[in-house]
Amino acid sequence: MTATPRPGGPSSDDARAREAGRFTVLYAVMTCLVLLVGVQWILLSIAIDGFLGGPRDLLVPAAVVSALCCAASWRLLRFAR
Amino acid sequence: MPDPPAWKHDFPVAWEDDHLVTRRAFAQSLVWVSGAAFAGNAAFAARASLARAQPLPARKVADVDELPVGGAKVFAYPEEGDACVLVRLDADTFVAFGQRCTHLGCPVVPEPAQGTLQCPCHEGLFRVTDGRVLSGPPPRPLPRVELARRGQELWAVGVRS
Repeated sequence: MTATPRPGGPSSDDARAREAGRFTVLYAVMTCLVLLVGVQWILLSIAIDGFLGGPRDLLVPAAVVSALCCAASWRLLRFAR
Repeated sequence: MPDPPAWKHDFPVAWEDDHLVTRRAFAQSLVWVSGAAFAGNAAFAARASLARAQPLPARKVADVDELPVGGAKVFAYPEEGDACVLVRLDADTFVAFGQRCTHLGCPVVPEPAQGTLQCPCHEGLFRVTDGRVLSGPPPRPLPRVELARRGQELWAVGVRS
């Protein structure tokens, strides 16, 4: 008894696996981006609080961490192909 | 040609009119949001640094004899809209604080006899000698206005948060 080749064959399976891998990376990138934007949202609320009379010492560190988050977001976008 | 299904009559949206957002475009928009958040943070930090670099102007607040012991006076410092309150604690001691409660911004009312400044909105209490929070929801002390005595005059010369 001989096995009947499936339509598309092994190469079709490879393409499907590559596609699935691509989507996994894309979803991972999107998850990281959402987390980074969430962190930046918290930093922005700290900055607003500091500006409106709260602890002003946190303003510059918050801006620096926000810049790092922004740079990380920019780098992550390169993986979202 | 067969008739189109009923749902096409109810929802007549053509594919070319449908604005699909790809996952990559969505990720790009997240990066723009990230950039905007950074811009906001940087703007707040820059404005605070600039404000700190410029010394506040000195402004006459009151004459020494103007207030009895236990009396209070409201004045504006450093800008016209920044209400502050001056309190005379004894013959030689004057203190001044920003009048805006650090909770939600209601004006605080001095109660020198009880040694407090009271926020009537949510019953926040501050100590009149140093502006520290005694009770209630305020998260921070009141900003203290630095005073200088020049002869028989009291001058506001700065604000310390």
